[in-house]
Amino acid sequence: GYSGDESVASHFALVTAYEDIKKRLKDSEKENSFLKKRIRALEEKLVGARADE
Amino acid sequence: IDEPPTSAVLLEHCSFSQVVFSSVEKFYVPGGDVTCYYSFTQQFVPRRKDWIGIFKVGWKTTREYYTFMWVALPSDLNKESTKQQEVQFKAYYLPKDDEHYQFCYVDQDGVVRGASIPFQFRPETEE
Repeated sequence: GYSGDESVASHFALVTAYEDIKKRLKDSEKENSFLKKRIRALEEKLVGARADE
Repeated sequence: IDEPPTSAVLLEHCSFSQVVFSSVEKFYVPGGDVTCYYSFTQQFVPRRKDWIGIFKVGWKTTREYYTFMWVALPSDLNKESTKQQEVQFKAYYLPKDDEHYQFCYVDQDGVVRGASIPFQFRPETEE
């Protein structure tokens, strides 16, 4: 087993990591939805260009 | 997904944040040396047998460190202890997988005095 202090410390360290990874996930999701919009816009352009041919 | 009870941790926050890690990268290039930057808060007095470990995120006891370095003590504690310190981890001793790791500062009594944000060993562009 490990002491109470150590388990609080390990919990604190885990929370530190958790909060940061959660922030990164949020940023990644934001970037992802931006890229999806970008793809959609480019797809429309591409489809439009093909229709013109 | 339940969030961990962060409020309980905040009470104890101070004793675990006496050493602050800075400029921690999200990714370190595999095979390269890693410089760990940290500074002491004003009231914290570092001691000779304090160490900084690299731990896999989710560690339970300080014995689970992957590798460690003794801290470099500032020559003049009063004048230099609040300045940024650094210690270098040699590539040879670093993890070879892509798990998340973090730096933790452990004092000579085994008390954790600081923990960093997590990082991985992989090239940033590789997904």
